[in-house]
Amino acid sequence: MSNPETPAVVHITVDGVEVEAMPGEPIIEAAGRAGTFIPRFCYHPRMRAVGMCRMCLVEVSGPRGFSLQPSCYLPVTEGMQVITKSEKVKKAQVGVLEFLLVNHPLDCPVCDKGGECPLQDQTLAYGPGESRFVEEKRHWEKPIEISKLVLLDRERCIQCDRCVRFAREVAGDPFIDFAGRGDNSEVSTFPDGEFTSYFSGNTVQICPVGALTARPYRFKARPWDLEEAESTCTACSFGCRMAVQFSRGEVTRFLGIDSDVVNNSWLCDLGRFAYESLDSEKRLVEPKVRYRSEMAEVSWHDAMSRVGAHIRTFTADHGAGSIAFLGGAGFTNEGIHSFVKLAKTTIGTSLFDADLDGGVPASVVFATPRATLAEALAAKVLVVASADVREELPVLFLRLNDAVKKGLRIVEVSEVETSISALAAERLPLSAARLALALQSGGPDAERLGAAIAAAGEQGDGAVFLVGKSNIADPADVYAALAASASRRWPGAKFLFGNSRANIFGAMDLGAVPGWLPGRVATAPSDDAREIIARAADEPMLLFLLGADPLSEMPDTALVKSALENATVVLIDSFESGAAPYADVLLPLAAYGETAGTTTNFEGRVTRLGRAIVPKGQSKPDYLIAAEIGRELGRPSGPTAPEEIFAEMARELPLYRGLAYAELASNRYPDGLVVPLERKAISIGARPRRLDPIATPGLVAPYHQGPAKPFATEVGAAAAEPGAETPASPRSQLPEVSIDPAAVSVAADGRLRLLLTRRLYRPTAQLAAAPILSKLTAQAEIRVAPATLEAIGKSDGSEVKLRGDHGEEVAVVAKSDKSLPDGVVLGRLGDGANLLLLVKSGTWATHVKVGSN
Amino acid sequence: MGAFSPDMRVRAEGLIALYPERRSALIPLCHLAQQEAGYLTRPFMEEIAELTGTTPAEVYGTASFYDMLHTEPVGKYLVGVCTNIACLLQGGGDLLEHAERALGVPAGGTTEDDMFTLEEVECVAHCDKAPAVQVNYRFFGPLTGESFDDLTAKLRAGEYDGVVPPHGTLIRVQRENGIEVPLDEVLAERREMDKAKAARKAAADAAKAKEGN
Repeated sequence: MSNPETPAVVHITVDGVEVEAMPGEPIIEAAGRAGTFIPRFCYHPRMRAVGMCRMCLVEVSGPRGFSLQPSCYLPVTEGMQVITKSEKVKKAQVGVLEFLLVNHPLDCPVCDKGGECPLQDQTLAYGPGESRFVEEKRHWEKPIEISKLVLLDRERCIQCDRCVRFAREVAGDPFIDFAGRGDNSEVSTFPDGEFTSYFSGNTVQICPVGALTARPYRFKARPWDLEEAESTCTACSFGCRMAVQFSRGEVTRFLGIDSDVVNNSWLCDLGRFAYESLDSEKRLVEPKVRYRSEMAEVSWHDAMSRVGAHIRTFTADHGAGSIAFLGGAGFTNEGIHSFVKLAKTTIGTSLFDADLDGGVPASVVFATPRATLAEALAAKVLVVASADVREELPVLFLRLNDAVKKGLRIVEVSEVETSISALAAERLPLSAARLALALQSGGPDAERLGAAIAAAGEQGDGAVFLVGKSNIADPADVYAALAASASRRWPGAKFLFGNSRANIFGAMDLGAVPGWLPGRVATAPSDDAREIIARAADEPMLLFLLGADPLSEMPDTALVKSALENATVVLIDSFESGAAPYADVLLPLAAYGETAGTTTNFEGRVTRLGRAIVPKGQSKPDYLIAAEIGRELGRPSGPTAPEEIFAEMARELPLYRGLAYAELASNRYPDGLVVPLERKAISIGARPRRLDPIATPGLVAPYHQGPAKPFATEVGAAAAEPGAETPASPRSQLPEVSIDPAAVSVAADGRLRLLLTRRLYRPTAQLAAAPILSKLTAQAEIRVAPATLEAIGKSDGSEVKLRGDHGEEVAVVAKSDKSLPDGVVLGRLGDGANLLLLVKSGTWATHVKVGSN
Repeated sequence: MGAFSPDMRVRAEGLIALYPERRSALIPLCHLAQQEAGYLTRPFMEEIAELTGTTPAEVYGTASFYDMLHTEPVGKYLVGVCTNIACLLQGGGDLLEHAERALGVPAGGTTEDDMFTLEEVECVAHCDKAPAVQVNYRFFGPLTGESFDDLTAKLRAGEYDGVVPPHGTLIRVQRENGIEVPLDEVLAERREMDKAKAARKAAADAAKAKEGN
């Protein structure tokens, strides 16, 4: 990394003041850090500079005196002299703005960008004031829909190339480009084509004018009316930092915050537009209780009496072991903590599983050294053995795409091609089970992986593994075995896990998974979600569903259905999910943006959630619902505010020792902290948090953003008390998990092994409640080898019948895919067909037969 | 099923092999497509995207930049009337107006029988014969209204077949053996160059290492 020939710092002079700069960085960055703002449009700190808009022209010394140069494009050199405020520079800025305004309409009063527009602001600050242009401006058809979410108003476009560069370089979805030439230039999709990208909303965020607008936000608010709360996205466990902007009790939009350590200002469209569902009619806003066969709206008091009666009855009749809690991975840490206390202390049941997916279990997550994202991106080699990253943790895909360009070597382990395959230096076409078996018993496959990551050395120092559930039909043991055996084989390697539910890692840390107590403390093993569901199908049970829908999240639909029918169900959710018809009591849960608290991402990073608006209707935050149930059961009331609950966690659990609720939203730790705190100083990266109004127009001032700091600031986790006991992650506790050879067996008589995956726009109750986003809901489909389709006389895109080993049948659209390996059928979950029906609990591999009818 | 005919597909692959990066062949492939269809149809642009590892939007973006690549249907003859200064002084503007009337389409339009597409063009470097007209990049001039009508009539009648090939034709006289690229020679040459370059680099590195010690 550090080349002795490259100086650590170069010195330049900006307007007569000497400034330290990092070698290779452009003048605009160095000057900006020193407090000299240079106006710009096309320059974006997270993308390659192109020097297209010419707004950042400054005078730079050269062999023939000073000349105008684009400061975004020119790297600093030792002794460089820069003048940013001179007559010449001023004239250039006035000229550029006059040219930009030749064709830009002055429709600011009706433009969504008005009030937060870099063009408007910089014209005011640097512009000519009036234009000499009296001719007709160019006209285009007003807004054209380039995707279901994004609209393009070409008249306002100033050809800065930000959206096109984002699509090409950052997202890797180059479905928009400049068309035409000269004054006919326009940003365009392919004729009648669509800008289909999971990340299209970012182009709206970075557009320096009002050319790109997002359909859900169009004409909804004026930026000066918006208030802002900093928060963390809970669409997946990546934990993007974002600003929730709201006005008069309504959330109006989300903006990505430029966090160095997490999301680099990007968001995926699912996260960015999730607020659409907050104000939906489909929200559950009243407690409901079943009277005979009808659900009736009742008061919280009545609903609580019913819940309390259920708990007392089940405890008395069947023991506390008949009460189980499923879900909670979407809750705040404070909510999970409260519910775990309620379940394990007040009620006295150990049945609690937040991980309905059956992902990598906590026993492995805690016993392997966890990497941070920064470590993974800087690793000598990153082994990705996970479900498609773009579908499960979308913004991680953007970070990986960026890191690969900067030299990260990725080795992918996947049977099928994924979005990572194009980034990976190498792909080992192995199933997780096969690799796990190979790592346990040795053999050529294990050697292949060893050779592929040889750069990381014999002990695997410098290697990072991303292990996630690549096949929903597999039991969790496969992934536990894979991670555990990889950790034994390469003791120096660090791990990240692809369990993608929002706060699943917080749930693990807080003991909401079987076999664990709060604070990563092991206890006696107990039933997991799968076993609880199997029990509920046979014996009387009281099931609390915490924002979870086992029907859409767990395999073996038939079993889940009979469990829900048989059990008494209390559903706590913001939306009436698929499990709602089976519920005896429905308790309305405050949704995102309505609850304060903290959440934990896949690194173990604890960040604050912002509360923007009051909970809709009668809904309540998760921790309050737990407190209400506790009070109903006669428990003395504990803390009921998130900061108090967090303080209790920090006091009682060594894992959180040293953390303070208020500090997590401070200038010191803008992006939270990874638990457990390390006692040594940690660096938050090379650059401080940016507040760049031109890079992200509209970001007002998230509460902790102070003045810019020098670039090399080391931030220490000084909050950790010396000598504080933090739970270790002893490798000796790595579980021994054996894999049945059936997991890799090849089925006879033309049956194919089913590989089930999820997509980003998976059908959920929340997605269905979002008017615009719901149009993108994924449709279920299978992909099969062309020969398989031919054999049954079906064409690409026609409907086929899948038959499972136990007689289940599912009709689903089949697409031909020649990249598929032999003997595998790839099922992608979605609307239209329930592929989860085909998976039987407790089988090592699911086989199906593809038939024509 | 691609848009390129099997023969053209082979030529396309040959062109792609000429470049270190596939996407560099984008423009030559656009010319090939025009030879097949007269203009760049959407299926062609989609196939070019697939062949060059780009997206249709990028192919469209590139093609729409260049005046000689057409993404909308073009007649058999692309008639360009020059209205740059030399031709304008000699009546180029009047000639364009006449052409619009005679063909019944405005500049940029295509006649209903798909014979002619009329264009207003900048200097075609035929100023000595101003006002000049180009038909599929073959030059005619100086033209009057009358001689323009005569030219279009003759084109319609097929009297210029062989002189003015249909729009999109790459070269008029095909080489005896086609225009296949001597791929093996080119690739061999490139290998030699790469080898020499590697040798030079190794020598330079060695020298540097020596200096360092």
